Amino acid sequence: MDIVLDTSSIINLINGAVFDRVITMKGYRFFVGDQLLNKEVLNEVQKIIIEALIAKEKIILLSSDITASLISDLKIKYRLGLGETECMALCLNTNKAICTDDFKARKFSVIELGEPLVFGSLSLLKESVSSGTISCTEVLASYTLMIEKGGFLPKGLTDDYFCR
Amino acid sequence: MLFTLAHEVGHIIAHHRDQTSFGNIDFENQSTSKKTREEEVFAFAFASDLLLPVEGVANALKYIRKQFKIEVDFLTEFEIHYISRIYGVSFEVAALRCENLGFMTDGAAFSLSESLKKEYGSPEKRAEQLQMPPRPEIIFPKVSNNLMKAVIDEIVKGELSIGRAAEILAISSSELVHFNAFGEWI
Repeated sequence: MDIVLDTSSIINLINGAVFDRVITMKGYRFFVGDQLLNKEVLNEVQKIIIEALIAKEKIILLSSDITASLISDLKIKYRLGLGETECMALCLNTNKAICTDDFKARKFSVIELGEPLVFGSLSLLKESVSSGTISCTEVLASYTLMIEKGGFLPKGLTDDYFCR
Repeated sequence: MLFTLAHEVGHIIAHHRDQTSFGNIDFENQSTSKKTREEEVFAFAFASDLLLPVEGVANALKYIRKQFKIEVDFLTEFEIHYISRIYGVSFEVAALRCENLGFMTDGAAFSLSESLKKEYGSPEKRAEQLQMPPRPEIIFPKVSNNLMKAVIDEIVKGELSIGRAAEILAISSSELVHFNAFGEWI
């Protein structure tokens, strides 16, 4: 499955110190839109991590050859941020899934892409456990870190969610 | 700097710059000047009350007097320097506030400032000579904590996206997430 990662999920996965491992999951390819590096959405450390992973071809940089009118239509329709809108447009344009941790962006991504093509960093963590990429204990520690570092994520999840 | 900002807030709160809030005075420059003077007096009083609250100044003076064993029955130059440092305002503003609160006789603030200028170059130079403590560092956050909290509530409810909020506030998404971790700018 091809997944385009939104800023919010990248921030959380980096904060949870599992980003480089989640993207090694078998059966998945991960993409980021070029707007991510062009705009001031990440801090310097996050930007360096993304650039290094792109250079190592662990994630793929998608150039946004999407029409301005598609972005404009989606922006007017859903009133999301430009980065979130571009990410959604990229997925629509290239038939890829989206990974976003923003509540509002997820709601509208489900409308545009359909539920099976909408992921969040927590569902990727869950997949990482079931694919044997990351252990249950590590995933729980990562989730705790994401919350502690301010992730806009549901609180109080346990191994029932991640490991079963 | 702090006083200037508070002074301007006074103008904004009183809608001094909003022409629709006031009748037009269109024939006498003198009237306009009077109005301007009144507005300036208001903004000055507003800033003084905001930054140098009566109880705070009185308590600070009590503390300074006790700490430095000042027993004279008039306000000393030393005390005014201290007040100006504690409250982050200039000597002139502190002195005028003390005068307005009745701790000094009318006109004493101006006379004292002028005599310090003549004798030491400026009240600031005199304060340095007296080894006054530095004024507290004032940090203005990119966005106020209250506004950030309201925005975060909207994000949590799904009414506003992280990216859109970051665009509106001219900050990065990672700054929003960071704020969410601590509930304040750290």
